[in-house]
Amino acid sequence: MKNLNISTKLIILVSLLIGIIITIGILGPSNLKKVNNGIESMYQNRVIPLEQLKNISDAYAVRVVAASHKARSGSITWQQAHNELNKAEQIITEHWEAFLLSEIDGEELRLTNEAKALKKDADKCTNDLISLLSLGEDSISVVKLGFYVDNYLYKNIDPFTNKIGELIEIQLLVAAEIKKEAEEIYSDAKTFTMIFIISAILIGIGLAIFIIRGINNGLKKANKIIGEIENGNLSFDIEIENNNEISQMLRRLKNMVTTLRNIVDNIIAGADHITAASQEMSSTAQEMSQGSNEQASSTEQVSATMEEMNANIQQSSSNAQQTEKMATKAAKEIKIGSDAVMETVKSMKIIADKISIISDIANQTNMLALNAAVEAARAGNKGKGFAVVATEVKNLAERSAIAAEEIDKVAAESVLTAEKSGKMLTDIVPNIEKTATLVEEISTATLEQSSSVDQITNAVEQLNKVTQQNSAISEEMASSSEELTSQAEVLKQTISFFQQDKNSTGNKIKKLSKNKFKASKPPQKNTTSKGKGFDLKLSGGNVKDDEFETY
Amino acid sequence: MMSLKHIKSNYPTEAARSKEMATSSEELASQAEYLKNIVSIFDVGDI
Repeated sequence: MKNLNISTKLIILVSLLIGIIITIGILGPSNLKKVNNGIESMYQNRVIPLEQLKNISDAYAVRVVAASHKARSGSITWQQAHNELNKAEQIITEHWEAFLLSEIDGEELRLTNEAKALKKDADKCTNDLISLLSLGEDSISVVKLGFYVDNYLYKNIDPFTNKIGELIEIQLLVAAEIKKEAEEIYSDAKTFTMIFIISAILIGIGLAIFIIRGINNGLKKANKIIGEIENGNLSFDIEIENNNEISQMLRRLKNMVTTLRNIVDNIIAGADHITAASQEMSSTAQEMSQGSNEQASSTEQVSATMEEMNANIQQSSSNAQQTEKMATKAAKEIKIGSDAVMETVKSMKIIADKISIISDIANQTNMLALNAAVEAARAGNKGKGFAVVATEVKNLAERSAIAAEEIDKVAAESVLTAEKSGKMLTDIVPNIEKTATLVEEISTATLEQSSSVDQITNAVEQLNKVTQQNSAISEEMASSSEELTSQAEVLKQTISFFQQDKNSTGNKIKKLSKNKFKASKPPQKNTTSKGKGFDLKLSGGNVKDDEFETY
Repeated sequence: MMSLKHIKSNYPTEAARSKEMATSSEELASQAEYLKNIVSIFDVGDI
C-alpha cells in the first residue's frame, strides 16, 4: 500500500466512497420506493377508499337520514329532501363503485361482500324514500314517511353503515400495518444507510489520514530538505523509501542536491584554479614589470650611448671630410712643388753648365796668369809687379776653378737631391690621392654608420616605448590578476554558503564535467602554448648578434 | 653597451614570462568558461 502512488490512493479512496455512495444511492431509493409504494398503496387503497367509505357513510347519515327527518319535520321542503336523497344516491353509487375498483382482499373482501349484500337493503330504503318524497307533501305522505323512517330507515341503513364502519376500521388497520412496514423499511434503510455512511466516513477518514500522513510526511521531508538547501547545507543524505509522487519529488531533490554538490565542488575547484593562475600571473606580471623597468632603463642608457656615438660618428665624418679636403689640397700642392723642383733641377743644370764656363774661364785665366808670369820673369825687375798681379790672378783663377769645381759638385749634388725630391714628391702624390680616396670612403662609411645609428636609435626608442608599454601592461595585468584573485576569493566565499560534505572530491567533478555539463576540463599547464606576447626572438639564430661589441 | 647585452639576455626571460602569462590567461579564460558552463544549467531568464 505504501508503494502505491498518491493518485492511486486517492482513486481508491474516491472509488470506495463513490461505491458506498452508489450503494447508498441504490439502496436508499429502493427503500424509498418501498416506502413510497407503501404510501401510494396506503393512499390509493386505504386513504381514498377510506374517503369513499366516509363519503358513503356521510351520505347516508347526513343526506339520507337527515333530509328524511328534516322533510318529516318540515325544516326543508320535500323537493329539497328529494334532491338531497338523489344526490346522496348519486354520491353513494359513485363512491361505492370506485371503492369496489380498489384493491380488496382478505378480511376486507369478506366485509365488502357482506356490505354488498347489506347495500341492497340500504339502496332499496333510499329508493323507497325517494319514491315517497316524489309523491309530494300531504298528510298521508307525511304519515307514510314518518312510518317508514321510524320502522325501516335505520333498520335498512344501519347494517350497511355499520359494515362501512368496519371497512373503515379495517382500512385504518391496514394503513397502520402499512405504516408499520414503512417504519420498518425506514428503520432498516436508516440503519443500513447509517452503517454505510459511518463505514464510509471511517474508511474515508482512515484512508484520508493514511494518504495525508504520507503526503504530509513527504512534504515535511521535502520542506526540511529545501530548508537545508536554503541554509546552504548540502552535507546530508536523503533516504527514499517508496515510489510515489512524493518519493519521486524527493528523488529529484536528491538529484538536485547531488548536482548542487558537484556544482559547488566544480566552482570551488575552478575558483582555486583561478586563484592559482591569477596569483601565478600576478607574480609573473610583477616580475615582467620589474624586468621591463630594467629594460626601459637599459634602453634609455643605450639610447643615450647611441646618441653619443652618433655625435662621435658625425664628428668623425666631419673630420674625415676635412681631412679629405686637406689631402686633396696637399696632393695638388705637392704636385706643384714637384713641378717646382723639376724646374729647379733644370735651373741647376743650367747653372752647372754656366759654372763650367766659369771653370773654363778660370783655367784660361790660370793659363793667362802663367803666361803673364813667364812674361814677367822675362821682364825681370820691371816685370816684378806684373808678376805679383799675375800670381794673384793665378790664385784667383785657381780659387775660382776650385769654387767652380765645388759649385759644380754642389750643383750636381743639388740636382741629384732635387731630382730625388721631385721623384719623392711625384711618388707621394698617388699616395695622398689614395689617402684622399680612402678618407672619402671613410666619410661615406661614417655617414652610413650615422644613418645606421639613427636607425638603431629609432629602434631602441621603439624598444623603449614597447618596453614601457609592456611595463604598463604588466602592471595592469598584475592589478587585473589581483582583482581576479579577489574575485576568486569572493566566488569561494559565495559558494562557501553551501556546506559541503568533506568526502566530496574531484572525481565527481570530472564525471559531472564530462557527462552533465559538457564543460571543458580545467586547463592543464601548457608551457609550450604560444601566447600573444611580444617575442623579440633575441636568443640564437641571428648571426648579426655576433657583430655587437662591448665598448 | 652592457645595456644591450642586458636587454639581449633579458628578453628571452621576458618572452618566456610573457608566454607563461599568456598560458595563465588562457587557463583563466578556460576556467571562466568552465565555470560559466557549470552554472549555465540554471536558466535565470531576464531577472
